[in-house]
Amino acid sequence: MHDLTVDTTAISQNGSSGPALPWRSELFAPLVDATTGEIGRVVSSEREPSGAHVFYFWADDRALTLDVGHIVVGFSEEAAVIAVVDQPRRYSDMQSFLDDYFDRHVELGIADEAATKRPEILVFEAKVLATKHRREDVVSKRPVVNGPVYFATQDAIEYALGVQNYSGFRIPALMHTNGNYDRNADGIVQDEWGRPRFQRTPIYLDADYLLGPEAGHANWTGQSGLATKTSHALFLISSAFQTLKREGETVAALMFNVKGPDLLWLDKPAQPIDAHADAYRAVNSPGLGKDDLDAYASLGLEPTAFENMRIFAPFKPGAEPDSRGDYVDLDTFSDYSCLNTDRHAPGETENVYPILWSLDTALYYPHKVFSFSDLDDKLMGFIYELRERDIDSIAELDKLWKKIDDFFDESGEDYWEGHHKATIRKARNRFKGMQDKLGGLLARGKVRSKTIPTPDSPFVDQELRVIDISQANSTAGELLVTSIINAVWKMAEKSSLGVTKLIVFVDELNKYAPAGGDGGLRDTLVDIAARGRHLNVVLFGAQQFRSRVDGEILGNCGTSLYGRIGDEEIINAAYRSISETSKSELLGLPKGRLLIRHAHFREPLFGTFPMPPTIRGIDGQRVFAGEESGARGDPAQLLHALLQSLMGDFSPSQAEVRTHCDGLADETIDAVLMRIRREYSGGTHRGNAWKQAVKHLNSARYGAFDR
Amino acid sequence: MVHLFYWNFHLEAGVQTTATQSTTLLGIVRQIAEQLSGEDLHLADMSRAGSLELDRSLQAAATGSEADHGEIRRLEGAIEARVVERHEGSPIRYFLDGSQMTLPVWRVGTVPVIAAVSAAAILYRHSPDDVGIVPGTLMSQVAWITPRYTTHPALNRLVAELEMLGERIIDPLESVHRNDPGSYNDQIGLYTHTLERSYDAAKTHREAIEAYLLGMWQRDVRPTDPTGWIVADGRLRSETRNAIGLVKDVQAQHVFGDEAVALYDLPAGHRTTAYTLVDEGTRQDWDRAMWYLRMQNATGMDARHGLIRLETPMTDADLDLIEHISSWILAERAPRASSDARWATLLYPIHLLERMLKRRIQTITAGWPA
Repeated sequence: MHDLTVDTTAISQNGSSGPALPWRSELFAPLVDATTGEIGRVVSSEREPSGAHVFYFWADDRALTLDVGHIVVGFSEEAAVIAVVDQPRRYSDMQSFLDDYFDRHVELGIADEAATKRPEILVFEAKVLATKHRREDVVSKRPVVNGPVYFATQDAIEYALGVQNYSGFRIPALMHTNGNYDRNADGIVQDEWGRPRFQRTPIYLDADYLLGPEAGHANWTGQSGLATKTSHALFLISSAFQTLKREGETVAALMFNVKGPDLLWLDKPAQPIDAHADAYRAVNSPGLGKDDLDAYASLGLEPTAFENMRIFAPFKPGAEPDSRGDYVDLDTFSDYSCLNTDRHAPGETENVYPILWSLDTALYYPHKVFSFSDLDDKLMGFIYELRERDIDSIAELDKLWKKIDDFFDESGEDYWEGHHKATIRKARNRFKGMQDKLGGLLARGKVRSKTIPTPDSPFVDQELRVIDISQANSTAGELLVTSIINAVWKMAEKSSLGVTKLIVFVDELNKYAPAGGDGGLRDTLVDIAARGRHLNVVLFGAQQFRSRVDGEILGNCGTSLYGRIGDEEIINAAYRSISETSKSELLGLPKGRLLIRHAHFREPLFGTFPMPPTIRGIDGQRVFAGEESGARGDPAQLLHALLQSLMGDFSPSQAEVRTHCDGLADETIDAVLMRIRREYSGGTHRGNAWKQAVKHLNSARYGAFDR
Repeated sequence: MVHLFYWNFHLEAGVQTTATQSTTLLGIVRQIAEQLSGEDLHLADMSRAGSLELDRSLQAAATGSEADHGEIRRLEGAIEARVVERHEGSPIRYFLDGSQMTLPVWRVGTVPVIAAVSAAAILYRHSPDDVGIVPGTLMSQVAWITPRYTTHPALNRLVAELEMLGERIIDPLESVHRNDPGSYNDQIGLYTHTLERSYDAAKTHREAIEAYLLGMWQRDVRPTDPTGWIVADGRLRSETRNAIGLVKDVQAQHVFGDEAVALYDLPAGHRTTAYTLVDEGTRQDWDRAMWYLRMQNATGMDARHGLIRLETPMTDADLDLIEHISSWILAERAPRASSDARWATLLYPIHLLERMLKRRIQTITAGWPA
């Protein structure tokens, strides 16, 4: 056999002869934290040999910071093997627990220390993330040899995560914290509390594998109430926005607010501007700490809020605008207190829009509107009849009922257009409660508007569109989610999204795409999961129970993140690829820490993320919607800003605007503001906007302003 | 990296320091085989024979075993049981032990050629969790044991080659050659006899290393820690202050009759009164005080279960000290070395040291067929 062990001088120390020791090679020096030094030694035994994907090492007694989730480097003959630390086990030579029991009864009390401490050894299992061979053209899977183990440097961690193979942009997702200290020229870096700071390395995701086209989608699993899933989704969306903006690509996101004011203040930063600092402090929302800001800096991100945010919400039940004739003119809408959303404070509604449907829209979703048991063939036939007749409003439908009644009265027949009168009676009965059932979403007349955008309109770059269904009833909420996602999907199929990438965030995915279920939105979501990455729509889904989500959606997900998971949930097969140690970690995972799997990662990693760049919803509500809050938007100031944008140099001064607004309620000024915006953006008025505003303000002062 | 220490310590015979090219026994044997490959020498391979430590007949025949003794001098009156009171603050901070593996390598005619791999060291214990080898005391070596005064051309050639490589050679029949040269060649013809003598020589060699280390401790370590005591595994072979010999495999019976009954009835945590061997002085110029100590309860067990004999130089053997030493040794019962069949009499630090020494021997014998 020929000797193949050639050319080892490259990895021998100082060119000396003799066996080359890879851990002393200059080639691998950037991968190991030599300053901290050796932290353990690889051991392989007959029972637990080192393999291509796993090895074992015992930890030095002084390596007290080494723990599960850290990334270390061992070596094979010609390669550095980078691995993530998994299961720890502490061994002693005690054969049986009884040995210690007998020791304690023969010689020692329970608290006594023996003359000699029985040596204990801490052995970690390490799961291989990547192997870096000394030759770039060699893909090595050779197991590690027995030798020293070091903490991995940032370079090593980035290599292990395959960053060098990313085809797309690098999107920062999490921050990995290792067990070695962060060092600079002055020594060990201190954190904001003066403690040594551990080495932190950004965990990047490949944009091609997160947003398509190579792979796509992300999924979060975890218990509710820890503010981890949504917080991280927001962080990742912000990260994607900033990254794509930097790279010159357009992106937008669509989210559904399902709980309180969670997603209603995403246009407000977590870090207050000086003028708002007191208001933030008053609600115990002091902003981002030094560590958070450092993390943002390390990740190459700005902790900025979403500047281009639009919120859509249906009306409160019974507060739908009245019809004028057969139509509901949404352009006259100005009373935000009628909207079924917490974001209606005067001065904070410039990006809030109503959602109102005509009957024809609702008729496209009979399975959502009517109960399943009611929807027999006969009723479906009648609904199709209504659609063919272009019955597009309740008012039209009422006219039809009248017409049908007359027909039966006059003809004495049992059938109208092939529909038995019993079927029609049943339909009439069901339609009668429809407006209540869709509480606030369905208008009596046909809805029309020239100026109010709809939630299913094309997106603009960096737009964050939030549909607030948090206060809508379940039927209206589900209808909105289903209809908007379906509409977006149709836009994607027609390449009319308006942006290069659209992120659709759906919380409670198990509700919309349950495992083993079927139905409208499930099919659409499965379709998005399967084809979305090619059509520039990616699904960011979150749920408490991953095991109850459709497998096809999860299977198509290129990135999965896991927060704290309950013990009943984690025993499901959906978690079988996660090691037992990681599962145990997940059972008690603290807030702000996640386990991430990504298409490029061979093993999942734990990481943390800074506080989201936006204020917490509940805090935003108190800061920006509170009556007494000094941070709430000033309608007079907003009116002045609007006039400036409409009139340029001819706009009135702010003092002039304030004088005319003086004595009027904020809600009134806000309504005038919205009226002006609508009138001039819709093109119905071309005259002097200030004169028009003064007219409305004066009318309001004398009680003649019609909202 | 594996280090071999070849006779790099002082023995009373003088100083001999050598080195070899290879680091394992297998490497040395291959090197020799390569050197002799062109010559027509008949060396029968015995590399798969297994170590002599596993040969029970050799163990029984070993001349180093303790012999029963007829006369003792009682230091505390008749031999009887005494309860050992607890005394805190044990000054035992050092432990000495050695280990060996004796491997047949070749046979030249009726003559076995044996490699004795020995390792010995001193363990320190500065605190319960600060335990390690005293620097410079870990010694491991390979010695070749074979007759060297024969007329056998092949054997002589082999011996010459070993010497050329700087290997240490011990003649198991050296004393026979010195005192009765006429019977030397006769005894060489007795294969089993030569094997037994070789095993004895290997054991003696290892004991010499241990004795050397004890001397080193007395000379180099004790001055830095004058209150520290050392426990040497086995009989105490030199008059070393603050040294305790611990014989854990009690074979010799020094007391008889009622005193022997008192010895074998000794309850756990009790010791016998101390004594010394009357004619010890005829064999060495110092006296040992010795006594027995029952470490573990022997109910239902052999009479020697958990029974050890302790030895200390008479210079240290005032009665209070005997009591204290017994207490210090009893305190070593925990933790127990339960992974070793000899746990009942094996002190845990010595167990630890043995494991380290065996690892060292395994490193030297790595790849050896047996």
